[in-house]
Amino acid sequence: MMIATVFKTSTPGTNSLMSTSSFDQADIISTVEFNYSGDLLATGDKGGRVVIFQREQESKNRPHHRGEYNVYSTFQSHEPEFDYLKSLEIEEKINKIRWLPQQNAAHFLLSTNDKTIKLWKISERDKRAEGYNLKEEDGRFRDPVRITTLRVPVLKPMDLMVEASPRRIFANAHTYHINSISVNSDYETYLSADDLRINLWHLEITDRSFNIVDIKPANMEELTEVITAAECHPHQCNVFAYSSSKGTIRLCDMRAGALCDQHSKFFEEPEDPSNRSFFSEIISSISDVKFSHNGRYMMTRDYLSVKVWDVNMETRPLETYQVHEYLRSKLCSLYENDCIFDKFECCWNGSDSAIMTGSYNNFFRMFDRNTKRDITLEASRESSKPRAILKPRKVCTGGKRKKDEISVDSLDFNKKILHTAWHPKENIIAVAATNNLYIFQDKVN
Amino acid sequence: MVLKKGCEKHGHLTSLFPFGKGVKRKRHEGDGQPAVQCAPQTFHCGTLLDLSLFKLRQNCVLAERNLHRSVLIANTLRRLQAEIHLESGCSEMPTGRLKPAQPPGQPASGANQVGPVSKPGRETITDLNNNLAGVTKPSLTEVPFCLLSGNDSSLSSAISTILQDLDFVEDLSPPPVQVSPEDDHDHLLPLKPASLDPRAEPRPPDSIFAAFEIADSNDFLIDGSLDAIFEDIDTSMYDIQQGFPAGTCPTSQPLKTTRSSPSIMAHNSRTDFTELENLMDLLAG
Repeated sequence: MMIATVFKTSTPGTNSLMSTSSFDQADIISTVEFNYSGDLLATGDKGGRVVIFQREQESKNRPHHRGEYNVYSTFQSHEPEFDYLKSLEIEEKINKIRWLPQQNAAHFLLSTNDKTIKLWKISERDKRAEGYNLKEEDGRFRDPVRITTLRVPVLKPMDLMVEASPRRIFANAHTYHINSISVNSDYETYLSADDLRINLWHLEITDRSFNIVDIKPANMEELTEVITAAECHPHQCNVFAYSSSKGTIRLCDMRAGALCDQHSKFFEEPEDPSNRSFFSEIISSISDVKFSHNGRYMMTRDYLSVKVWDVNMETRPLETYQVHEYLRSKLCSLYENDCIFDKFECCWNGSDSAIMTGSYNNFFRMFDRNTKRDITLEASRESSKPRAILKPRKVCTGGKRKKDEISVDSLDFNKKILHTAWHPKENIIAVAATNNLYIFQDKVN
Repeated sequence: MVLKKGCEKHGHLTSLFPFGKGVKRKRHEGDGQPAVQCAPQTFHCGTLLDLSLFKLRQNCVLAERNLHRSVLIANTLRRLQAEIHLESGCSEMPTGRLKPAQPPGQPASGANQVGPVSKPGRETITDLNNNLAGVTKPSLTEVPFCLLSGNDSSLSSAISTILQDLDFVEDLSPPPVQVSPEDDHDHLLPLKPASLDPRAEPRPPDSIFAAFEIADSNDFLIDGSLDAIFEDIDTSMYDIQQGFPAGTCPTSQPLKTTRSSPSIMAHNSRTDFTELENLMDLLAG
């Protein structure tokens, strides 16, 4: 089981002296994603900004700083918009970031808000050209009439600069709020999903997308179910999966037809009658779906649990992990204060042997699929001093509360960990706690 | 916010729907045993109904509308409504607008279904929102039933009021493209491009969910002659990209379309400069 060591916390956009209770809403982190190599970590926030962290290379001069993540680039990805006709505000909040595999020196990522997807190129510039013919050194243009000789500009070294430039803007294809984007394994296409539709894009074409799933009823009054998440299969470029608000997952094959409203596989677990309540449907709504790296399994997150499915078995999940079952008796209150609608994400480790997801009170949970052991850790400034070893936490569900346990009634439901990410190769995790980003790694002897 | 003290953010809700205050809770037996249900659930049905209606109305008037949340609340409302009518001894299902259409031949209520939920077999699974699928949940007979906060007519009027408030928003979204069943079997058909024209065909009157569609305001500026208004504005000075040192300030804004320049010579030199810039970018890697 992984023992966490904190070596970096970051609060982009906030004064480190400020208390966490007085942060700017725009600084709330809304998505976290490692790139394919794990050297870069991107975060998006509610203010439409993207902050990219880069892992430091090993250095003999600074052995203790091996593997530290430092800020690499910051840019404004999306701006707020306003639909004047419907008086609707279109948030600039970054809902998802997905990296593209690196094919040259530059890095590419997709970022999306509720309506528009953008492809960003992040590149380094460490040389500057000097000796232009048409431009002075201070940037003023030279009069072409006065140029009598020509010279070849010379490249000279300069301080490293990281540029982020939007390369493609994919807009006007989603009527509802985009909740997912997923890069296909062909590295040429990607899908985007909103509440009622899923579109397939080509990375080079921005003025057209193909609708592959449409669940919008002819009469909106008949609407009872929405799409909550979608993801492409990691290896089969024709297969994708999407989850619904009724706790179902559909696997679709794009070879079967132009419109994939007919699923190839349908995954649903029968409801446990002993746990039935008015809130059964709400808590069964799937907030995240992720394929395992080997493509054999799918993981889904609903309000109280994480389930691992074998893609070849549709009748029931392979494994079910209870995240915070002690909240089942609190559903009334959680419905009242809207916490029941919180959308938690989940993630796999690189070898698919462990899974992680967040909870309340800045707790996050990790489950080892092989040993069936689980651990609850807390991401907070008090317990996350650099180089500190995290102590496992436990929630007391009844009876006498032991030392270091926390009572269910004392949980802080304002402190929720919705977004987590796991390094694709190593035991390094990134945990977003409101406006703070925590990066933990396995203790190395 | 701590659950025990109620929600500060929704303090007014707490006063209207006193769930969190003074609620007696049964002690939990332990982790491995089924969680004890919320003790006061027996008299919460009417309160839940009022709360759900309040949330639905609140969600519809918020600047940021959440269709997912509204669907969940509406489904909960339907369930509560069904339970209220079931327990009040109504023989037929209510005709509120929130209720999805029942297919013919199926039982009007879940009253006849007791015991474990039986999921439909593979052949009965239909597409999302096709309403033919609807497995009506069995009644919660184990929960003794509640006092009503209002009768059918008051509930229907509350729902109607919400819908009327939303009805003024004209639905201007692109209609769903209806694919005939034959098209799905023809593998040679090209993929269906997403429709971007919001005025392709008229849509039925708005419903409680139709207000959630995001219409791009640019969709309505289809008339190209409007661009002529901006032709004399030279924005070329904002078109040049600039980089910043790592981790400091935001980088360049999205490239804007270059407007026509008044000076042909200046335009040519800027074009040359741009080409030279691109060349230097390639050399510099």
